[in-house]
Amino acid sequence: MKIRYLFMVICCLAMQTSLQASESGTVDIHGFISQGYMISDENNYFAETKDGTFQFNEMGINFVSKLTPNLRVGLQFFARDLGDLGNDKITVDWVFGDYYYREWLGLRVGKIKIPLGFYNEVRDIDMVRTFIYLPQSVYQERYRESWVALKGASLYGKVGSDALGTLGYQFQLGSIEAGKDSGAAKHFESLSGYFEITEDFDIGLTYAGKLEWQAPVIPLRLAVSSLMYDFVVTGKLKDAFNPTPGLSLTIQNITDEYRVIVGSMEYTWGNLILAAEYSEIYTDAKFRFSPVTASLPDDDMEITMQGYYGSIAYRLFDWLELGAYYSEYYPDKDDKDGENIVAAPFNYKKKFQAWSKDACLSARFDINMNWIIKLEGHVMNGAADLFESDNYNEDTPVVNYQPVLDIEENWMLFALKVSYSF
Amino acid sequence: MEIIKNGRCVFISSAVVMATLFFMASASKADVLFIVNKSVPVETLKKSEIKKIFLGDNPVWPNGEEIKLVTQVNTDIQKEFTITFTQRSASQFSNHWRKVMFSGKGMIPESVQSDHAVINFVKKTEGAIGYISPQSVTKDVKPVTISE
Repeated sequence: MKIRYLFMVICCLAMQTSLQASESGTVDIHGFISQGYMISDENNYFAETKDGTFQFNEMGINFVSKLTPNLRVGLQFFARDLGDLGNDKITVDWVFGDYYYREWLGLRVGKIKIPLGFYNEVRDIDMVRTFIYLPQSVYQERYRESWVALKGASLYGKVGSDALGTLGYQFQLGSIEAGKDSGAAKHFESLSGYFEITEDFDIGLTYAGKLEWQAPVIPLRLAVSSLMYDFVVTGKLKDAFNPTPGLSLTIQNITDEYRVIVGSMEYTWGNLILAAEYSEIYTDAKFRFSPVTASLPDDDMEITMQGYYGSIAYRLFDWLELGAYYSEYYPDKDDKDGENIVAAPFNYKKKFQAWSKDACLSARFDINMNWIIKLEGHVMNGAADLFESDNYNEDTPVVNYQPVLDIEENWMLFALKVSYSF
Repeated sequence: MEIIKNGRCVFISSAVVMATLFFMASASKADVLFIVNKSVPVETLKKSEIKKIFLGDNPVWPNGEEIKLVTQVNTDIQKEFTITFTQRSASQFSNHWRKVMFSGKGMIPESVQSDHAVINFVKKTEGAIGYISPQSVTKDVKPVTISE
């Protein structure tokens, strides 16, 4: 909380200040802060939403300067809180040098936003989108820390003509991170049910890329983007679920291939924006247990997650924009009805954890150029998006060394958010 | 069934044609004059070049000099400019620049609230380009011809 107040003071001071860095230009300073409130009638969604929560905010401040007409450098600090994720820890969101050679070729080196789908690069900026929550079928909050930026280099550019439209590209190579306390770790813990992640992810070289075509004449854009890497994650059986005290059972997930691909389409007609995106995440992994037991043999697995949504947003007045989307997400596209997860051994999971369906309605009020307020409601079916560790039964979280979940198939979420940017 | 299929095809085709014509019609109506600083070595710009410049895709003039943008906010000409030359509403244009700025891909243009302020900025800033109503132009700046 103190960090948020300090940030607001910095914002006020920055509004009055423009630093003169050199004869080449000034240092531009911009920033934003958002504070939200969420409440759900059932199920805790990334935070203690059943009781209502203010653990829902983002803030950022950036400094950018042009050293020469072709070379720009910049840095953005960022902090967020979403339940147990972030906890207002200040991080370097992006920092890079950007050299523009020609329209068809530029180079960025540093920590660079990953161009996944239309909105990953700006997913933390509440001001630039209609919705409080981007569709989780494509923009999963659990992977945000890992997928938002990579450290490395990027080539970018655009080619095209008036007749054929413009094709833009970005190709990136570098590394990403996922800590043992990250959303990705919590997601793995939810998938496994019984294990907790004990070490930071060991992630190999990461490749990311995007091709985006802007049609001539009509405001249609199509894109395909991808993110690929391999990793190893290590965990151990949680003590609460260990029937043999003194026996330490560890699990290692060796994922040889983790491939995300997103297809995107957006059509703008005056004040109306129609968008649709489709995502698949392919995983080729091996599970290795130590010690090896008959009941938990080593296992190889190939799974494809699937998600998609369609959205519509319309600006009625300068001060009011309305939006809606429908989104579906399946952790395993070959088990959309949940038959496999309930049939698995040692299973306590519910069938409706095999999917998440989300119908969202949102209203955005632009008070002025700097302030916005958003109201949003979600009607949800399914629990694939939930972290199990947020939804244990309060009275009896463990029975016979198995987790007991307090989750419902049908539930609703409401959110309110106020944002300021400069 | 054949009639319904053909009817559907005709409807969809008509909708696409109407949408295209709508945007072409919108694009052809413009009462916007582009002006540059007298140091800028450009007399004519294509509409597609204007779009690239004002969306930040092209940051330098042909002589390598930095392009310095000035846009207008809360004016009628701003709305006409954004629709006609960038195929975006005024709020979508502002959103575009916020995305560019907060992802580190560019620096937000100077924003002013009148033709007079645009002229002042352009005349004293080397490499500058802005837009005004044609009747506001003065001899302190150089008008640019726009070609299709």
